[in-house]
Amino acid sequence: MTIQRQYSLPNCVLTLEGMDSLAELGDARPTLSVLLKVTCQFPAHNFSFACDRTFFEQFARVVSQYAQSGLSGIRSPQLPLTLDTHQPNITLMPAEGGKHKLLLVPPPNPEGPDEQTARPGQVTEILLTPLQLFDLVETIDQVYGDPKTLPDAQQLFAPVSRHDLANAEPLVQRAAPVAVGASGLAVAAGVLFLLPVPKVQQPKDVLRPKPTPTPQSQASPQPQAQVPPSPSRPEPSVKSIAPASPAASPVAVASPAPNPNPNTASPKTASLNTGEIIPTAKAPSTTAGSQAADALIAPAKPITNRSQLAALERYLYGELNNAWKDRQAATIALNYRVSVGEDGSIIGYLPENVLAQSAVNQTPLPELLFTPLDRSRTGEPTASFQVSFSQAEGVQVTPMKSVSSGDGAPQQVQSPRLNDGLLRAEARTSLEKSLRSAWSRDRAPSMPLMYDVQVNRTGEGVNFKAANRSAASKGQFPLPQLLKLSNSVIKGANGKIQLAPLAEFRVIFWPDGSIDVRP
Amino acid sequence: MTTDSSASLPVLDRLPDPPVKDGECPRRARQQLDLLLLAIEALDLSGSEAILYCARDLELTSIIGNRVNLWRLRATNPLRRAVQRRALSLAEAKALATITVYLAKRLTVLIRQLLLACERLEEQGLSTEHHFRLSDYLERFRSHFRARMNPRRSAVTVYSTDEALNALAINLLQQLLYCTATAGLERFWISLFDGEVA
Repeated sequence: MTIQRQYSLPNCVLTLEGMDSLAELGDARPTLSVLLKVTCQFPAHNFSFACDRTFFEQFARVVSQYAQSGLSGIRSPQLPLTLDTHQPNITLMPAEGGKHKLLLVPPPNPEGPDEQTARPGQVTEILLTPLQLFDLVETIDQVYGDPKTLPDAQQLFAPVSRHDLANAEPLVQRAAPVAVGASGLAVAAGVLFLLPVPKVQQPKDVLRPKPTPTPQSQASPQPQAQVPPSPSRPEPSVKSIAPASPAASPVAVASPAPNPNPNTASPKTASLNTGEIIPTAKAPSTTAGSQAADALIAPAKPITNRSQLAALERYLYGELNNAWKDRQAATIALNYRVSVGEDGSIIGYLPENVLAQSAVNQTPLPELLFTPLDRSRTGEPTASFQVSFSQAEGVQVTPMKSVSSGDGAPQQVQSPRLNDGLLRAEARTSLEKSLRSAWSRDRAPSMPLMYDVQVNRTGEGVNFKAANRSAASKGQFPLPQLLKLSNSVIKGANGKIQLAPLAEFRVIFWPDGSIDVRP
Repeated sequence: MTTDSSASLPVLDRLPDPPVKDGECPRRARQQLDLLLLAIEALDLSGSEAILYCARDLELTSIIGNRVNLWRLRATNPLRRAVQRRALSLAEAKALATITVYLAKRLTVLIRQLLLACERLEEQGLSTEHHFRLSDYLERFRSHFRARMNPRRSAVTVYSTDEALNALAINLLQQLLYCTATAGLERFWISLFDGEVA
């Protein structure tokens, strides 16, 4: 027995036909559990269609989802916007004027074609007002809400997920902002790439007044005008020049130190040693040195650092000693006052006696004199020494009395100690080598002789001290030619003469001819 | 009161708990609940009292006990002038939704009347002033909205004109109509979370 049920509202009538498979006698209202046909009518449009249960369920789902989107304003992506006409389908979408468009491809009529029904295979469009749509929603809700109709069927409500919403947007549209951003970045990068890279300039030192560079300076070191008299640290960018070699002019030329005032030493020292200067200052200027000496007027600062003075004295001695080849002329002592710059170059000299003046060409002084081409420089600190050349005693260098003197002779200035282990080892080995090569077995002493020898970092001996009694009684060092006081000075990194760090080793001369060098 | 009392309220149990973060309602849900209640107040003069009575009838007084409480819950709507910066729990939202649907069902006839009038006026091309009840509703809605909503918010500036507010009012009326359906409460509750869940 078929059951017919109608759910009607003014704008929509749903008629269900089915059977009761769970027939129970005595029920006032049978349960329509098997649905055979559903007819949906829209009286206002004079439209109806029939369908089976499957299509009805799809229809109900679509209507419910559309009603939900009406409440939230968010359309579910599961609601299609267009219809595939090849199969029964339904969808809803908003239309103009607040109305709703129902698109329907109805299934074939289970009971045969009917004039009033829609034709299958065609899309039918119906415009529903809000009230008509609501009536449709309400009738479907009533169908599902009726416990005696399709008790197993249920309406499912699920919120539209964010994921579905995001995926619903076509991929091209979603990728568009990313693409615009990336292309904008690429364009900006290309434009900025064309900007020139700023050149990095080393900051120029504007605080110190730079002297004009001489064409002679070959080395890179910076000029040193106006440097205070006793600098202790060498400047980093200046290359250190090897300890002075006897070659006179290359050294003098390569030295970067400007020598502004060859003659400044004399007026300055004139103020210090008043009595002696005047006669010599009036000496006829026949030599280049005294010409240079008379040229400039600007005062020079005296070097007052004791260790520097000591270093310069030894250096000057070494230079003059090495350079003075022809010692015949100095039958009588030739005395000069020599002023020396910080780098050890002889800036100027003054003969102190008449014979010295005439015999100056037999001394190495003229060759060693450093004459700068540009004489407008001022104020390089200088040291003055009294130099005496004699056949008997060779070269003697003594410092002039300076303003702050009053302390002891330079010999009493201590050389700094060489502390670097590596350098000490190197010095020791080279000292050993030089001692052994110079020593010959037949000179071996009868008793072992011990000496404390000071050497510089290259192993060149500077000084000795007797360390045992037999050495003390002997007095002289067995190999005096290896000891040079000039080895105790080096040209520091700034071009200035400094006392070199020295290392002290114990040298033992054994009776069997061997030599020991102990740290 | 924000106690989690939905466990003891069977009225609210029929509504499922959507998987939202921290059990708090999203912005749009709070906004929608407040606006629908606003529409109900505009429909019915005794709307404010009716809400409280409804809460009592449905035994939701543990959640909405008094006027102040109700105002605090509704004021979580971000568009309000005096926005309450607190979260609206799911239980509170369910209570408000249930009351809204209950009251809407009571006003079904009126809602249908107004919507029908709207259609007729539109067909005839007349403005809404020609229908007394409709214009009454629209005017009350506009004044309530302007009185309570913060005009500086960008979402509110969209409704600065009468026409925009009227359109909003009609839209809310249609939503209330959907709420009156047999499965209206479930559908409405779920629609509050459209686009808010993962």
